[in-house]
Amino acid sequence: MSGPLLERFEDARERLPGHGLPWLEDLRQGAFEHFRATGMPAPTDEDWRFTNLAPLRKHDFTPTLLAPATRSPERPEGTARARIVFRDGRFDPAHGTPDALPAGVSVRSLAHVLRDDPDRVRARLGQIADPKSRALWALNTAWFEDGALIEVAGAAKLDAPIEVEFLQSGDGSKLVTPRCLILMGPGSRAAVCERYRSTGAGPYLTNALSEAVLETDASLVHVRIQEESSTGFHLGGFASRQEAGSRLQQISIALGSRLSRFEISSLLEGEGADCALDGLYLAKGRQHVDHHTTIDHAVPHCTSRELYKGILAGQSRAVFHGRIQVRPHAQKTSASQTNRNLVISPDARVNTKPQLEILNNDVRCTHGATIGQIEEEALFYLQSRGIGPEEARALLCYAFASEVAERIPDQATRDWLRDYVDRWIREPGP
Amino acid sequence: MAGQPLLELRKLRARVEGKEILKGIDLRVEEGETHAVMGPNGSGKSTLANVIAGREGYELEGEILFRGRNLLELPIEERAREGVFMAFQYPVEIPGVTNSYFLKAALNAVRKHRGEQELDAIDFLGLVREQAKLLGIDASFLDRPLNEGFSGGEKKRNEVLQMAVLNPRLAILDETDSGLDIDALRIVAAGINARWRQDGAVVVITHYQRLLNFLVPDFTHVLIDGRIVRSGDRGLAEELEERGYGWLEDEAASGESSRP
Repeated sequence: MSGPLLERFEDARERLPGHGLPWLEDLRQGAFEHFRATGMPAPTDEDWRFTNLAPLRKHDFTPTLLAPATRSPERPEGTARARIVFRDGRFDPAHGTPDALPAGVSVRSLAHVLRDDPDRVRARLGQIADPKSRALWALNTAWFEDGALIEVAGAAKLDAPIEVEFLQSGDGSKLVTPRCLILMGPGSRAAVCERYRSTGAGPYLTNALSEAVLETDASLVHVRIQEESSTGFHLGGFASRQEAGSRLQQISIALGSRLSRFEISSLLEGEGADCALDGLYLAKGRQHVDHHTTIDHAVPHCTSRELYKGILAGQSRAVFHGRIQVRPHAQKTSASQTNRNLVISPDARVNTKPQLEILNNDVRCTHGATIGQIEEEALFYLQSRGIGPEEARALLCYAFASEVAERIPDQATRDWLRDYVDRWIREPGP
Repeated sequence: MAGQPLLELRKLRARVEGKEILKGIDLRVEEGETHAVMGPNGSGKSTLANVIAGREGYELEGEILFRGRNLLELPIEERAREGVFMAFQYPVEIPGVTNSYFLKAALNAVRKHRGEQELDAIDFLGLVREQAKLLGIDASFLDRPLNEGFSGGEKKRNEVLQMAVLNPRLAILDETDSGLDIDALRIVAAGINARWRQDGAVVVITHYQRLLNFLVPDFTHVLIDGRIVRSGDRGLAEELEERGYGWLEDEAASGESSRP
């Protein structure tokens, strides 16, 4: 699929947002050249050993701006919350931008900001997620059309999540390239929920990338719900930089897509920063779901924690790769990583790989991975109280998932997820 | 007229990986009765309880008739819905499911089977709180994950709470006294006695006699090496407390002197 994308870039660049801004031209050009040099990742790359993107080659995905207009995806249901909506990766003016936000909080279309107020993002855009570090981040940086810019100034505290909704039409074999930038000022607090959905039945590729900066003592909860359709591919990324005393909680809920990968790069560059990465993935049928995390402890006295849990049914496959880097002078680092998999079908498979690169002695670092089945003893216990085997299995699956689900601070999201998991377990796999 | 017994075991044998654990058990339990099954460790007491409840992994022969139906033909959950309850010796910890959520699912499964209306959250909470109070269980207990981090005594009380809420016809208490101090034992036994129904029966499986001070058996059976070697009234339990199991083990062994 990369051939046509390369050929089209020259023609399309004038129509990309921010065209004419020299710094952005340079950023896109550099990313484009990097992608041209590397191409799509292949299993020969150690970081891609267990996720083969070969199925993408059969498709010729077209960036939304080059694709003919197609029917609109369905509207999201109403909500009282601050929400911004993108259709096939482009801002939906009908939905507008959230008003009534607390002072110091703004949520805007990145494309609008690049048109009206580009200096606002110049110092940050592309500076957290290095496009030359990963082919897919290069692809997004070269092509991104829109996404949300979320700014939270120092005094602002917002606990209800700001919802960023990406609705894919599933029509026209599109390449959808959402790009978000979250700027958390010193001492600020906010929650953001990115949601990727589709109601269409055709193939498409979402290549999303979000960047977040947490200045001193800022606190961000970032929930990312990937609910793409079973005909969609999803290759997403999240890159964060944290200054001293900041706290990040990133929660990935990966439910949809025939093949998905979510890459996280978290840099702890201020002392006392804390980063918690959580993930829950459910896969059935022939779904493939991959989480690839990198946490870089660059300075002393930072803490990181990871908990990824997945339930695998059918012939699905899950991949987890967790890299923790502790640099030579990053003493008193505390890092823990856990990946647990519940395999409920004999044909599902899991590849899990911790990768610890610890370059000093004064650290506390733990990791563990398990691949297990439903415990017969627990099943017997529930059945011995009259609960049928199907119900008992559903209960135990939810019990397994709940450890991650309960970490979502927002009650409405937790309730939604609980119902989703319950339905998912009871539905026979495709 | 002698009716159908509530529970009848006929020549019940159980093997695990080629090893015979129960070697032909015959037992009749009538409505309204309390039976104690005692015996040394490894005699097959827990296997007996588990086989009635439906634990898998045993090769079984013989019959377990419960109100005339052969339980061996029923899956685990059907036995429970029919009114069989085993209090586990080692209750399972299930993080992520609250005690009350679990109990409500169980109770409604049982009620549905009986053709009764399922209870809504409010009625359920009313019922379960009342039962918890009778057993000296704090209401906060209900919101905790099922058995997770419970002390040994809390787990056993929770088993009795489940029994009280599900209101079975046959309760098999598998070493429910272990892990309970004397006060807890008294409360639990009082809870069982208070709750007890005339058309039900209790089978107390225990190593020690102390629970039987509070939960007085009509019959006592001694299980040694997979066989009931002696049955008697509550006096037998008291005799065992004084004399231990040695004399019965010796008798059982001499009765099998033909064995290599």
